[in-house]
Amino acid sequence: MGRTQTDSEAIGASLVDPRCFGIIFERHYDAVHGYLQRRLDENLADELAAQTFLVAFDSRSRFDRGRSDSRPWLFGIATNLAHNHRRHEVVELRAIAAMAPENGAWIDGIEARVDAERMRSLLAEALADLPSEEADVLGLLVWAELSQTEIADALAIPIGTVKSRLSRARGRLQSALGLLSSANPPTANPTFPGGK
Amino acid sequence: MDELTVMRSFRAERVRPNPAARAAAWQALEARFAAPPAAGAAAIATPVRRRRLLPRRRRLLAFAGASAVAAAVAGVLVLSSGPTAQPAAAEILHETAVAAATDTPAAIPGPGQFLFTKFKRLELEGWIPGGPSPEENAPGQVQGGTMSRSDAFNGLVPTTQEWWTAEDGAGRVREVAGTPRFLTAEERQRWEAAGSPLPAPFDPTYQQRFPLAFSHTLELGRGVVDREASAMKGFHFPDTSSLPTDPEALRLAVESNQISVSGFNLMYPSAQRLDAEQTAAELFNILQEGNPMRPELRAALFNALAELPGIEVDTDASDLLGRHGYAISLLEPDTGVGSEYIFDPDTSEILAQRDFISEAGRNPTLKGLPSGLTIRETAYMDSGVVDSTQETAAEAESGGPVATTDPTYRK
Repeated sequence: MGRTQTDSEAIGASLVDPRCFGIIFERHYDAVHGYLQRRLDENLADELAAQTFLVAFDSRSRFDRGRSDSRPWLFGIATNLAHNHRRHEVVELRAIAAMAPENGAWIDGIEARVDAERMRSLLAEALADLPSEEADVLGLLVWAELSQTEIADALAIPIGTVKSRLSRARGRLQSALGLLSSANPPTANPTFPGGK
Repeated sequence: MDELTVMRSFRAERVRPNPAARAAAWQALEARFAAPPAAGAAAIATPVRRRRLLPRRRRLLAFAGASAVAAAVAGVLVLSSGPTAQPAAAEILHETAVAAATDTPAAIPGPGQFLFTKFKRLELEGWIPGGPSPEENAPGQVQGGTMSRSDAFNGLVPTTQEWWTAEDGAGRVREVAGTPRFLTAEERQRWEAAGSPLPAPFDPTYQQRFPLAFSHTLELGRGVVDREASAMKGFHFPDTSSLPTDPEALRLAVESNQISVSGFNLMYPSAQRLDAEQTAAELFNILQEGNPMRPELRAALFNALAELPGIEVDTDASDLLGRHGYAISLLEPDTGVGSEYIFDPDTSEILAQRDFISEAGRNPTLKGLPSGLTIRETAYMDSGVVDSTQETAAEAESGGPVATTDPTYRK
């Protein structure tokens, strides 16, 4: 048996034989689908995950095969596709936020669950209010588990921009979730949207 | 607990495999792999090739690129220019529909037979002679773009391709490279000084390092790749028999996203309604790839195009082979890339499709390249049903063998 083909090699081979692209699908569909499931409802996630691989296949000649891992490229495509549904994403997040437990609804024995529910609602609201560029960076970091360098690659933005967007987004979330400490102030106006 | 930990658990319960969605996604991708050859009713040769996704927004516009292309054949650039809009687009397209309606239906390969297609392609490519070193794990070739490495060459690479495809997807593919055309005379001189190296797939050294999958090589040499392809699970020629042949009904079906033929409408699967630009693009996709096709459906497609608002036809276009025809261009303002469809108004044949840079500087992957530059052009030459992978459609018609290759690259 030879060594396992890298993503780059598989994509290169697919330029001659398209079926070689099946390796990319097999390796990464579940991760891309999971990322989109975090961001969008189930039907949209299914649809966009399929589209991601169709777009990737059609543009595979432009993949920089100097990079062995195709995940940043694939998540970049998925993120761009999800962008078109940001409004949908925000509506759903606000619906989750609207289901927040009332203040004072603490009941002995289930505080932890209620606390988690409250946190979930606050987070949903904060994510809905994030500028989409910051939501993208955060989603790619946490849900796609990309490194900052990979995020820069995925979104075709400088690493410095990734860092600053991430810093702002985390500041907003900390503020929204009540996790701020005096030693860790937000780096941007937490009263979003639109804080720069 | 920090905000990232909270976020990691957010909607974690949603992440679960969906075998049905996965299977559907795979099926769509597999259909794209197969991108079956379209045998036009009037012997149009449409290659087995990847389907282009439709852009989110396109703008209909006519471009006169043909004369520039013809002029550039002798030079180093292939450019299109324009626009020269024609006011009688609807009339032209309705007349073309009349021609389409008189065609005879294309034959479908039966058991043991093959659909043969032949076409010429000119594609912008970047390549490294012999591919990169094994340690580099870098691309040896980029299609539809250029490479910035100092040891790479960039130019327009012509190929002649012949495909034999059976009903199970098995068959044969033969590709012969021609002499690349370069963006500058200096680039051409540098290439000649380096021994005129061809792109990676046409370089036997590279092929030995990255052998083709799912294939058996019949011939491999400088400028020639000839291989047998194995059967593909799920392969089928597209069936357009359920599409309406009434132009209005067809247009409404496309507009309202009701086309259910596998392989179509992949870009907007959940859209409630396609706009005029998206509808035009989809009608062309069906026209090009929805074969074998009944003459009445071809006619309906042209009639439906004729009724789209804003459509324009350039009556002075010609293709890679110098054939004169009419053209409709769809521009993608977001990407700075346009697609041009060239057809013969007398027969309704699609002669060629060309992708070109419509706005320089818009697309980061095409940085530094001029407006009008061809990214990819495919000129369809011949198609027909044959009985073996050694036979061409011309042979089938004439009863005798003909040359199947024309290796014209410079030594």
